[in-house]
Amino acid sequence: MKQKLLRYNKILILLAFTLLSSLQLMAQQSERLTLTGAPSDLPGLFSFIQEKYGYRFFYNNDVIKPDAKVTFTSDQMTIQELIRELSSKTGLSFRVMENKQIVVEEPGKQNNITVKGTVLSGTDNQPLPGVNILSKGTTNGVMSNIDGTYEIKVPSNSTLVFSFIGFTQQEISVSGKNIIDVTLDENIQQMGEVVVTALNINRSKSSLGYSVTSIKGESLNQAKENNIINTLSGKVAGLQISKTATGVDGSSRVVLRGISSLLGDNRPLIVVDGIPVDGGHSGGDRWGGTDRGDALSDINPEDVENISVLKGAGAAAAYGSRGANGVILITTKKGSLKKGLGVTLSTNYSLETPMLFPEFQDKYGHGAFGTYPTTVPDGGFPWGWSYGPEMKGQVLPNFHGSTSPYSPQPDNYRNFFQTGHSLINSVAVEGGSESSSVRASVTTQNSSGIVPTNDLKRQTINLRGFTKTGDILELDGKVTYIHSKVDNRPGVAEGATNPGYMLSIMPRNMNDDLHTYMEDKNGNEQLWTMDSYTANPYWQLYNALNNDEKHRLQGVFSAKVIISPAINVVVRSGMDYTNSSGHSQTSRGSRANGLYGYVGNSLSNGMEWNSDLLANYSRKAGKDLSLTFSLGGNFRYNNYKSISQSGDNLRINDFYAISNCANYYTSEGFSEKAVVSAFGLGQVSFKDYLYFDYTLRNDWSSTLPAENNSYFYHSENLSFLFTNAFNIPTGVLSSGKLRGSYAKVGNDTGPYNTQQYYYVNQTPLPYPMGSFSSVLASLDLQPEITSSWEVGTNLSFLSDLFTIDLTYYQNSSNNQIMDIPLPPSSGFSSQRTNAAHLKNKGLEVQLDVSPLKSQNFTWDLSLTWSKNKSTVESLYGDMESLILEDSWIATIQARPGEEYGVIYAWDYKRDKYGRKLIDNSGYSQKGEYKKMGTMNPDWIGGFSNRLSYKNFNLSFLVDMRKGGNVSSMGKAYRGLFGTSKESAVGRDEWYATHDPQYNYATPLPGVEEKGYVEEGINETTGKTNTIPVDPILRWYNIWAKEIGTEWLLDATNIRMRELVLSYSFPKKMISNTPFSDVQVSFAGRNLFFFYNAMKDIDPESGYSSGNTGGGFEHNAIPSLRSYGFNFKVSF
Amino acid sequence: MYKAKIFYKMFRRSLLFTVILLTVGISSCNESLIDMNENPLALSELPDEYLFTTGVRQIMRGDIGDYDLRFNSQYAHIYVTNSEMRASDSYKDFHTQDIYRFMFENNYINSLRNINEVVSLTAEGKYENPVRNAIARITASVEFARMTDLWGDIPYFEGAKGLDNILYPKYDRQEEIYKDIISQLKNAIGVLEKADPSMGYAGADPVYDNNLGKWAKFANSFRLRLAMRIRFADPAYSAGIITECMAHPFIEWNNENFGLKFQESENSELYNPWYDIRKHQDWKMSDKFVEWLKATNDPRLEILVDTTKAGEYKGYLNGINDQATSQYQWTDFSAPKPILYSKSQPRNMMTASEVWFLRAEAALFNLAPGNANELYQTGIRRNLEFWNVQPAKIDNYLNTQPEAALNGTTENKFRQIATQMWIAFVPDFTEAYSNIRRTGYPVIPQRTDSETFSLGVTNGILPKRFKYSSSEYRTNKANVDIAVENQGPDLIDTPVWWDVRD
Repeated sequence: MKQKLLRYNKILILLAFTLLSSLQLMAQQSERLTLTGAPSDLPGLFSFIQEKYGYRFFYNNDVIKPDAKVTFTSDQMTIQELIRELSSKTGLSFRVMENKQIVVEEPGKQNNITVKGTVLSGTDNQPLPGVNILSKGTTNGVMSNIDGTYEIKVPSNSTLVFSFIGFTQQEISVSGKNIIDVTLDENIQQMGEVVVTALNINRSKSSLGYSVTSIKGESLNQAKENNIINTLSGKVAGLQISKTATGVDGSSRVVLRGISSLLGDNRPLIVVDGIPVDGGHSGGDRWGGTDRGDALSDINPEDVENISVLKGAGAAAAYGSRGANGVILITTKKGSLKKGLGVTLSTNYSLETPMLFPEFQDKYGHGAFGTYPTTVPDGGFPWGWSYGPEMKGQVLPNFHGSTSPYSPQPDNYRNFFQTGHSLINSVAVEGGSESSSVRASVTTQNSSGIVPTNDLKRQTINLRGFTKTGDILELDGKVTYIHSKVDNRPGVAEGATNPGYMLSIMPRNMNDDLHTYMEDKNGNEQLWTMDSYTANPYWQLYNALNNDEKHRLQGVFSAKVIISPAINVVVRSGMDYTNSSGHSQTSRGSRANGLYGYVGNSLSNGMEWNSDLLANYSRKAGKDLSLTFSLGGNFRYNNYKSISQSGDNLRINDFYAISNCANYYTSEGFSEKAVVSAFGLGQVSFKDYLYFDYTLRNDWSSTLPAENNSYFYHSENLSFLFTNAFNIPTGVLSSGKLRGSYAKVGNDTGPYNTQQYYYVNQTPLPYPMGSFSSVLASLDLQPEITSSWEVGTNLSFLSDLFTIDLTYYQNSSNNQIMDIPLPPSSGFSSQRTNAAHLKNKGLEVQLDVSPLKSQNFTWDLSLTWSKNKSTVESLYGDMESLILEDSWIATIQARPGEEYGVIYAWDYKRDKYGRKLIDNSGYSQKGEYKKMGTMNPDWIGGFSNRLSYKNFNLSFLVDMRKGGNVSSMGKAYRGLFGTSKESAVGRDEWYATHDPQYNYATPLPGVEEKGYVEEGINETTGKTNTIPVDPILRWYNIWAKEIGTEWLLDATNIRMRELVLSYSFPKKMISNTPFSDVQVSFAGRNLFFFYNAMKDIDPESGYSSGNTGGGFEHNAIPSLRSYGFNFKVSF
Repeated sequence: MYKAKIFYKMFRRSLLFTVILLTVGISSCNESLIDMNENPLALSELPDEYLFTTGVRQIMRGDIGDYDLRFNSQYAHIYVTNSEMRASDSYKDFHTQDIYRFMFENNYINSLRNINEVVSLTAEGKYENPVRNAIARITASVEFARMTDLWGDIPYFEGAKGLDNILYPKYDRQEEIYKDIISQLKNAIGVLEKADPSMGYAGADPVYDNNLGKWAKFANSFRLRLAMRIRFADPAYSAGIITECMAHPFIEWNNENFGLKFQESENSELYNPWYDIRKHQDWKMSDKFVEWLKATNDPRLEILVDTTKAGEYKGYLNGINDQATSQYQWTDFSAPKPILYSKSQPRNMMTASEVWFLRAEAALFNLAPGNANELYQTGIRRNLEFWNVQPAKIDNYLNTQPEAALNGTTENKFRQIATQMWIAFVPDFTEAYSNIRRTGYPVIPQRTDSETFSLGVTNGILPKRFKYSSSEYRTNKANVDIAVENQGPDLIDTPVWWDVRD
């Protein structure tokens, strides 16, 4: 049955091709001319045919002899047959052009004529100087004079191309005319910016009813990031990108216009050259794991021509359910239609250094209660902390069984890290003719991270070809192969393999010995404590290893058959295939991850195959109305297979073969899914100011129950250019547009969610073992529905000196398919069902200013700003809250009536004035469990500045985030373990006034007690608290009472995101070299903070790129600052 | 113009064709779409024995890390740790309820979900089988009883019945749970005592290898345990049940113990789960336990307790506070002997020894016939046999040690029985702890010296129960609230229903 579906897919494509090519042939051969009664002289014959059949003949009078006569063998023939006969009888050549025009020429003779004329602007009928006039397909061209006139010598049958920036290009066939006057129409709205929209249809931006941001690939290439999406940060209003701090090739959290699916995927759909690619991501979680990057990091920035960000469902309804979170459309370069071969070489080298380090105290080392542990390695909790005696170089027993001076090691955290570097080389060759182009590129990347042994190697090969056959067929194909291999991705969060964690909590006197003596005499891991959750970060570096490798093949082939200027059919089929393997291993002797050694291997294949057929028809109805209409279908098939094996208890240590494991386990995975869609879309435009677009679509998904598996949805978009409609003078307001959009999009779910499944367990036991899922299946799932609307305006002032783009949107998602937690006492952890209603609304602003534009000096500024608010309208029944993510110190929740992603935690006990109430022992107390913050920013913004002087370009981007919180486990742990700067407060005083003999538990007689004095009010007396406590107990107290207040940080920051200085060598300078273009640029990314409320922690230090990623930080490795240079030559 | 018309016609025709193709295609492949959603690696039903083995093993192996080690080994004053698991020994109720949540969830979501599915599969329909149903009900009862002992009121009648669409189960009174289990066990004994073995779990019974007689004996012995446990809370009812139990055979020998057998293997599924727990090497024997064995010349001392480097038996004090721990050199104390976590040690949830002690107690209080001292000594003998103590040493202990023979007042004799049970339960720490709560023996005095000890949230008194799961508060609050109203505040010092003896 499944095979049948696949076959169906193939048949569909085949059929479409056959159908189209035969249509075309039939059309060409169909019309027969009747020549009965035609005059026999040529001019007479020509006008006879013109009158009767509409064919027009163009010729110079001196080509045709007036007495030349022809007679035909038949009275009935097609135009081809006629021309063949005419040609053989007169010796003239005939060329059939578009629109039934036939050019008659004398073979071998260039019939050059002189064409003159005036070019006028359609806006005000004034002459246009500087217009480029080119004979099509040649380099022969002139420019119009100050009075708009021009004169050019061209063949009488050629076509002139009139182009001028800001105006619509026009092509006019010379057809023997000597005077051609042209009126060029001004291209409204950002100089007629053409953007790529859904289904890869190029559209004038002004005709769109929704918000689109388009970014040129060039601007992303100078300051490269491993993951191309990161370079969009701050450049697109409404797009929130948060990096994770998880090593090279880490993933990024990408959200457009807020979270709309409570527990589902909220990443925008990624479409490369018309084919959706798997945008999946894998990250760690609270308990550890590694971040294995996301699909976006596989896209080679060098190959990108353009990125269009289609926001909101209205823009994306054509992609069906997956477009509901917006679409990022990536168009790759396809080479240009010009003669010759071009080669571009580019080299990019960058260095990466840690941007921020946590602030540590450097006075007190290993121990607790001011005392060095009685044994080292210590017994654990709390003796492995940094609450020991003051470090004064005293010689003490150390963890590896000898003695050493006990002294501060202020650099013991940062010394672990190295300088990362990245080298990206790329060669692109492109060549073409008038009708074909081909582009091939090879890119290699070698990067190493700041964590030693963590590195990445990636090679990308990209081949793209384009050809058109006459004006009938356009073929476009692309194959991309990506290979990447990453070694030793560091662990995250609570995982023992997270070096950031272990370095944060290790005693402040730990020195190089930790590295030198990482193994004991038995080869086992050696560290300062016996605590079984702690690890030696150096031992882990060499003994807990992982690597993963990915082969990814993407191919797309499309054919466009132009049946007539009004009708074309596009067939496209594309595939994204990923083969991944992963390996991890731990040697024997690890305390934290299994004493006996471990090996794990996995292999998976994922495939998505999309085929679609789209027939387009456009026509003008009358003078003012034009219509386009498209009908199409899509077939999507996803398939995922995996095999994994793991084993533990290595028989021979450091030999990582499964056969060497005493115990081993295997598992397999399989899932597949198909969606069949039929859709229609169209546009109606009235004059040049009113555009209406609509999309209708029905999907049939394999993942929903039979009775609910078909669902219909639609979108409508309206764009109104009021400055054109009311002929508003362009003096101040150069152009103005109002737009609106409404969309409703349905969504399905993953495979196998519609029934309860039972499994047979793999077991070495001599009896049968089985199990079934603890997620209770729902038998009547309905499709999810997201509806959204937006209104916006684009205004441009003073000849585009100043443009503003404003959008307000709302979207509402209902009926979400999600796992609703059940009481565990039901026996089930959750039920998969339709629930929850989530609403988003927001405002996006983009402001572009070009204050200076002269020949040598230009200055452009742009500002993006956006604000989004997601509200959880309801969950399920009277469910009060849904925990989205939790840690020891806080939870991220969804609660009806509140924002998505509110952070709940225990607060201090407070009086009605908000002052902390301190108990009689001097400790703060646990108060209410309440909303303490939110993971969402109040707003985000970017400010970019581009200055160019002659061949120099300087640009920088500052991005900003206001508000929102991050709950930092890192900070909490560093407080608890006594390594943070704050944890030293009060220690001097406490130890000075207490008796060392009893671990400073009792005060020295006759001395006033001093120590850590909690700020607040004494609960009984109502007076300011003055009771000192032992600092270790102060920090332990708030930890044990799980009070989260202190760890909830404000994520507000202003960051120098990007700075690029580039220089293009002047053409004159390189004119006698083989180079056609030489460019050098220096770029810095993530350079510094103008302001960072979190001080020693980067707000972008999350351990996961999931929905709640970024809301929690857990001892992340430092975030990165990079400096690099880029060198690019073309010849 | 004519030509364009033809184009247009052809286009319309091709459109029509496409639409027809799509429509036909879609309707014909709708069937395939539906088929595609069948998971090839899963089944839509499973014979009950597959889930029975899973459920039984989950009950026997599950949660020793949290239940038995983290809480009950320390509450029972047999083990002590210096890791962060010390919080329970410090009588703290945990800085997060996650630990209680994990324990509560693991039972309902794993063992009870599986075993309840077996109960419902075997009750009627394709897999209907009264014998298997009886075995499944006994097994489920073991888990429910253990949970109600630790939490008090829990969802029982509606618990783990999500497949019957009971998604928000009510909490039931412990008294009702006990009485229902006791009556379920009676029915099960009735079925099993005259059952045809071919109807049992031949080839799929990890506990008794389909020996239905042993299942019946266990059900009866287990019923006796439950009756004894509630004898202070409802003496009349308890007495009646004990009388009923006496009419049926009990577990008498160690080869009838209710438990899982393990083997020396490198595969963790085949060996004793305690073996892995031991990778946390930060456990010592409790001072209370070691001192008692020493004082009574117990032959189990050298079997269960390791010597220190200095060659002595020295237990660590339970409940020492963080600051005071530095006064004690951790390595100077006795660790548990490897036999407690050796790979081939069985994991028992009821042993013959306990049943003899229960019978001794019943005889002592005239609830059943028999010589209390003989029954008591048989109980001790069975446990010593279990640990492979040489017969001569057993005789010597029974004949020379005053504690090994009942003496003194009835209360003293009761203390002796309860104390021997405490030792005999090792390493079933959960039962050891419940028995301390029921009998008050061995006496765990209130901690008062806050300089040395942590008094926790109970003011130094041994905790009496576990707190409810935080996830139940989130998802089933109305029902938890009723339980709290019935039972008392959801604190660790609120006693459960049967815990009435001071």
